[in-house]
Amino acid sequence: MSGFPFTTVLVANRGEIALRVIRTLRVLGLRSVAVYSDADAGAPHVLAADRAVRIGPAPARESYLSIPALLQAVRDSGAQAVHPGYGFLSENAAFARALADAGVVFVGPPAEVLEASADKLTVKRRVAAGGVPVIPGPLGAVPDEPAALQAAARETGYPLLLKAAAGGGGKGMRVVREAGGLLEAAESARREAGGAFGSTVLYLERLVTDARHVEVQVLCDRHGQVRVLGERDCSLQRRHQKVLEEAPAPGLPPEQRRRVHEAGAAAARALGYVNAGTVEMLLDPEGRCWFLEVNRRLQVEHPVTEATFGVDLVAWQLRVAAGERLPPQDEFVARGHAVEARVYAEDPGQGFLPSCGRITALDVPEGPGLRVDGAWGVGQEVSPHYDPMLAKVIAHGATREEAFARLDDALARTAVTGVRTNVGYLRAILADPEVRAGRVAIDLLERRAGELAEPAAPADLVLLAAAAHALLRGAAVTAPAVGAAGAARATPDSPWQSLAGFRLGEPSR
Amino acid sequence: MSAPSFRRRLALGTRVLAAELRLSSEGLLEGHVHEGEARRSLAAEAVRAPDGSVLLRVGGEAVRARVVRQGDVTTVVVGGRAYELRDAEQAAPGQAAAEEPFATSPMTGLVAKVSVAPGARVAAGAPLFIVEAMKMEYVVRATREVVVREVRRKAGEKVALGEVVVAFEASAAGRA
Repeated sequence: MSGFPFTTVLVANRGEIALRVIRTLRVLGLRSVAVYSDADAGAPHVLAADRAVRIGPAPARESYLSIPALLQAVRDSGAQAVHPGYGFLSENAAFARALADAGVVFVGPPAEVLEASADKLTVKRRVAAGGVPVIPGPLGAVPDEPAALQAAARETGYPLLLKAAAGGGGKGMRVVREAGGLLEAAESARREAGGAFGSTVLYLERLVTDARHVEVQVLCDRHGQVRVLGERDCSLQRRHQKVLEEAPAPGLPPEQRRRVHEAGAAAARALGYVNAGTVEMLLDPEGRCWFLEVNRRLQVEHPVTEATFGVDLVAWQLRVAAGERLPPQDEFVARGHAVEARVYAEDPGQGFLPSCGRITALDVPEGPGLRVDGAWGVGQEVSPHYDPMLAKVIAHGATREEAFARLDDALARTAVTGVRTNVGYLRAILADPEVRAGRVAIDLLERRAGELAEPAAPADLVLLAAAAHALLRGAAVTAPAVGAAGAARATPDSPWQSLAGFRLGEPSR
Repeated sequence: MSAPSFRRRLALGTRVLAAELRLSSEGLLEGHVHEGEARRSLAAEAVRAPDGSVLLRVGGEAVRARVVRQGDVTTVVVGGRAYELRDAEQAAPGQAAAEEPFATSPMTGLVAKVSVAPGARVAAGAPLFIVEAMKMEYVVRATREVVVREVRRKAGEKVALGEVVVAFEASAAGRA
């Protein structure tokens, strides 16, 4: 269907998600406007858009998180709609309100929905009232006063979780195992939350252990219809940062799956939700599900749902924002299994510290059932100002085994130099027997950190490769040209034809 | 005429490898590597792919590697994993890091907070400063009891990987 009430959409984000939104805008025949900070001049999303507007200096607070700067960019570009991506201002009620007041469509929940669910605490109260089971903990903010904070923590019971009410993506969140670490954790969480979200409000929850993270993708139109596009399992996390996500959740009995979907729909109804959203839940070993939070935006891991349901969620976000009605539930049918790996610029050999620098060479895998969403390229500067995620590699297959095998093969064909990445770590996760068996849990990556550690370097092979590189004449040393969307240039005369029987990469460990 | 040869001492992590390899006109890469007392023979068929990567056939197994040399570091990516070979002439293996009279930044980023001032006596395990990059924080702690001599970075300032942020008094109190 065409006939959008807008023709130009500003994408208030950067990196891979900005590129991904711009791609759909192009498919739908809508004009795209990119915004950029000084650190991103010449970044892939800037080159991909029909138009680009500078919004400020490198720090996010003065650019991607600055409402005045973005409103100015909307005015300057004449955009009639804004897609916020994820993170930054995507769930910011003041931003949605300012756009609504200016007569600009916000491609996300309407301002009143965001205002009424402005922080995670309020949301928790409202979904609890709607009959959705919530995790035990005070339904109020953490007090500033140390003694009162200690008392509230004692009452909740250790181990507990400190969460930023305005948080997301694991930022501003701390596990506290005993009273001794509470104050330092609260201070650090407040500072991180203040930097990332502009709010230092924290709340407490009991830590649910041995649980799985299962989340429901909902799609709600302005006419009160709620659709469930299945669930995703995102249990494989490291320090609350998702690493590997899959759909559907492996090994979920149909009855549990039904209850998870129902809880997701109930939470969406309790919030009067509109547009695409995700209801995150914890599934404990007894099969009970607990509401965690609702993400009022597109998720990073949305491609696994797109792969299994064969839908474009950004296109649905735009249609819903334009007032369209959703088709009946039975028109959304899932097929096969999909898994996504997040490639981070971080060093698993150095405690996963972020790795900044300039990308000097890059091989991006291609193949059937494969999708790579990245904003990386040779020469691209990975700056300390933003998130360390470089790309997402998504594989779809008829079965979980096929999807996993495709993903592992894709990662084996991925090469990044100039910054360190977690690609080897991702392959170790894919090879882990518990992961392969589908026995995923939130603590798995931490529990099996020893098994997942970097294997010893294949020294002789590495030496041979370095020597071959130094001695062989032929194709230039320079890395392949990379398109804005991160797709590697195809090599028409592939060496694989002349070297039949060559197997790519090393066997997975 | 002699085949092109590769003679280098390279550090791979804590290992030091001395390689001597030759490439024949048939694309056979052969030679040996010394590592400590050990000496191993190496052989592989080697071809350059059109995209610039290197294809090796080693003992029946075929491997593709992306290799980039920058300064004195050669990065080799095999199977998605990156390995860094450092020219070993400059490398000083086995540096003792534990007793250094300063604390350095573990990553490039911004100093989020400095928890100590000159003259302060800091217990082992107590925070010295916090570095922030990509919105993630890393707390640098004293590895032993120390007395702060100098603080070289303020909160909000940029800091590079390995740069000294806090220097200690030479007479480490922790040793007493």
